[in-house]
Amino acid sequence: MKKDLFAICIVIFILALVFSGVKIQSVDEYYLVHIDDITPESQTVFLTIRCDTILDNWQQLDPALRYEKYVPSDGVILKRHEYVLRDGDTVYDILDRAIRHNKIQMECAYSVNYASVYVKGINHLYEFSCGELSGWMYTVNGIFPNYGCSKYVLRDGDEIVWSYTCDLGRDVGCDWGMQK
Amino acid sequence: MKRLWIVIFMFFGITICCCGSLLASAQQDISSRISSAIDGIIEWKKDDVGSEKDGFLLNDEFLTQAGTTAGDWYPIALGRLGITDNATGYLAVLNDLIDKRYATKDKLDRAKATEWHRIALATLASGGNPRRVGEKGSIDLIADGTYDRRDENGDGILGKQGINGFIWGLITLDSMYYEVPKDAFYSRDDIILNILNRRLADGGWALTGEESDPDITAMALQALAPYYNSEKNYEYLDASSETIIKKARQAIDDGLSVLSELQLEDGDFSSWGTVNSESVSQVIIALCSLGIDPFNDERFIKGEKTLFDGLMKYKNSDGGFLHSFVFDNDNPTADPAKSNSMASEQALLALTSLKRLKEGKRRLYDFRPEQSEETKTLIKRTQEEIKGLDEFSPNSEIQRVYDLYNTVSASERSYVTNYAYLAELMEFAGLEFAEEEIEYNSGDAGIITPITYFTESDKRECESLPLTLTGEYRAQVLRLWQKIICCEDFQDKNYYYIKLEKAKNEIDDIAAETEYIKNEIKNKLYPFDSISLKDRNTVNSIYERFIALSEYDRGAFEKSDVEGLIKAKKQVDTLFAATVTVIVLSVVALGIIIFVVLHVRKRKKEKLSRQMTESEE
Repeated sequence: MKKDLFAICIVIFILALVFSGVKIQSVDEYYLVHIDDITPESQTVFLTIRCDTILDNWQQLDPALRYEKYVPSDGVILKRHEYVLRDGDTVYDILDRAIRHNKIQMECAYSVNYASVYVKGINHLYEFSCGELSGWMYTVNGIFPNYGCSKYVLRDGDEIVWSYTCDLGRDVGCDWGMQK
Repeated sequence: MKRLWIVIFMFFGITICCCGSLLASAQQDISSRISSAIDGIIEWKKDDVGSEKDGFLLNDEFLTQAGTTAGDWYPIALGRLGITDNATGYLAVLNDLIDKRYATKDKLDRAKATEWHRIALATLASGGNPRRVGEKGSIDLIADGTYDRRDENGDGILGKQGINGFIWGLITLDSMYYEVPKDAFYSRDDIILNILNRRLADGGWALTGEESDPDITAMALQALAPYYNSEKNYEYLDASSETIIKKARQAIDDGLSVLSELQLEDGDFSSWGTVNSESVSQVIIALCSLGIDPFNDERFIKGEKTLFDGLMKYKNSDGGFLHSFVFDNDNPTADPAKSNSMASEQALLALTSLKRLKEGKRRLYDFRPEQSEETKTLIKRTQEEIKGLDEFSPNSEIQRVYDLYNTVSASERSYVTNYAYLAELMEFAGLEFAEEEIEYNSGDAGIITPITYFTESDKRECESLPLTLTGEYRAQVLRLWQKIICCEDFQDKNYYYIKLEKAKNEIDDIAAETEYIKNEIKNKLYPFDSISLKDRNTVNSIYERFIALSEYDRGAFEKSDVEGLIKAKKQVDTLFAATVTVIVLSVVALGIIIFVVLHVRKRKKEKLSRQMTESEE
């Protein structure tokens, strides 16, 4: 009788284990797999990718790119989203992670001249795809840093926006060209 | 008395000698300063790419930059300095890269014609032929990148990226005085007109806006330089959209005035709000291209400061050049105290221009074989004769000098640097200009493919290649492969050919495999949350292929590629382990349940039989 009770206890325990979803992982493995999960302690940043300036310059756009899948009708390629900030993360790291997660096309190249990664194209939109003054620029908290995105180390709460400009930044609020 | 004269004479003689040698030594001083600045940049860059002082600048590390903006300008400068370095290696990697990029839909680039221009110039400078690029020699960078630059609908896209496309298109077209076929999309004049059409109100040029930019203005002048002596009138629109008719010369002179205006008191310039070294480098190249000696032209000497002073201001103690002294709050990484690769490469090109001008060589971007002594003498004589003219010279005299000028071959006349004065006198005297017909180089004309030898050291390199290759040997294999293709026949050529062909295929396979794995990771392993047990085979197969690569080739992956792969692998492993555990535990649980049930039943039976025996009793 006692034996039976013991066996039933074991069965209940096993069933509980099975239904709770067993995962046998080391701490390191757990950390690796869950590194990008947002917890109350995580530091985070926000990222948006937009190309709404193209909507106002449609005629300049490379005809091969005049489709919704390249230029969404609301001009937003990636809606504002929160991402975990890892230690030492740069603007490029966050962009790269977001792009991978959302399976958006991107082409980058490392430039020795700028000692930084240079973003050539996002979602098939490249430099000069929409006129001779077009290309990708980024802001952090509304400011246009004048250097490569893999050199900009982020802080908790930073707000990153990648915008496609059709006018060397002026249409997205950058005034480098005006400085004299 | 006589002795006094002798003393006076001797005194003058000594003074004259002194003056003469002072002048000569000043010239020598400048030349040696130019040369030592050139050496300084080359040494700095060698150090930057981890090469020894007597090693190659274009070493294997540098070759990873072949075909990019950061890479191509150094070999262009080296080639124009006559420094061979590792030009064969550079050309080999470039060729391979062009082949691979031409296999894609957009070839070198969808929008940027300047990719073709820069790579064509680097090919020329490395001793290659931009009209016959790639392993089969079937790629023509000149046609594809200049006069036939079109999109899939047949529209011209030379200027898709703006004025740079036209400027560098023209520079590339004139690098070997290539002929433009009659049925080409752009004629030479089309390209010239596109540059002239974009002149701003003050006569300069800019990427955008109404204010002239020194860099773009200087580059426009570099492109127009070969047309300075042309009497052809170009009809185009000025900044206020009014039709004007001008010669290239007039537009160039306007541009020079703009640059003179923009020059700062240190001799340098400011572009996009920053006083910097690249702008003055471009202006020096522009002046040298026009045959103007920057040391003597008053328009470009501010106080005591010349353009050369303006450039040398940025020379750093390690030999490299700085971009700017201005510390930019927005840009804390552009350290004003650190040599900058782009600033150094442009300074190197400017110094190369100066050196070539001093040595009587061709313009920086005129890659044709150097002028014969005969041509040089004729040009010098013509210049002397022009110098001898003035407004009182009789028409017959002017005509005679003009006839002499016309004996210079049309394609060399742009090197007669004071022709503008003769033209002015001609016009004033009402004399007629003759028709000029420049003979351009059609096809491959003018290109001499250098014969290379497969040396003993090349053979040793071949023998010392490891049995299993990795991407680390890519540059070396490509260089040896290029050499064995072009070299003269020798005894064991076939043996080395087969060996290298195999090696080349092997490194191509590695590159293709790496590319494949990278794409698989991007396409199949994201988003991470959606990775489930059914992806296990996919993940494992990608992982196995990755692990099969050499350590060097794995190192070439992006950090996030590796992370994505490892994460996915852990995830499927964990999920798999969990499933196995669940199954095992379920089996165990089932076993126990069966055992308990059987046990209970057995006991019940026993109890029943016991009761029955009891009742029987």
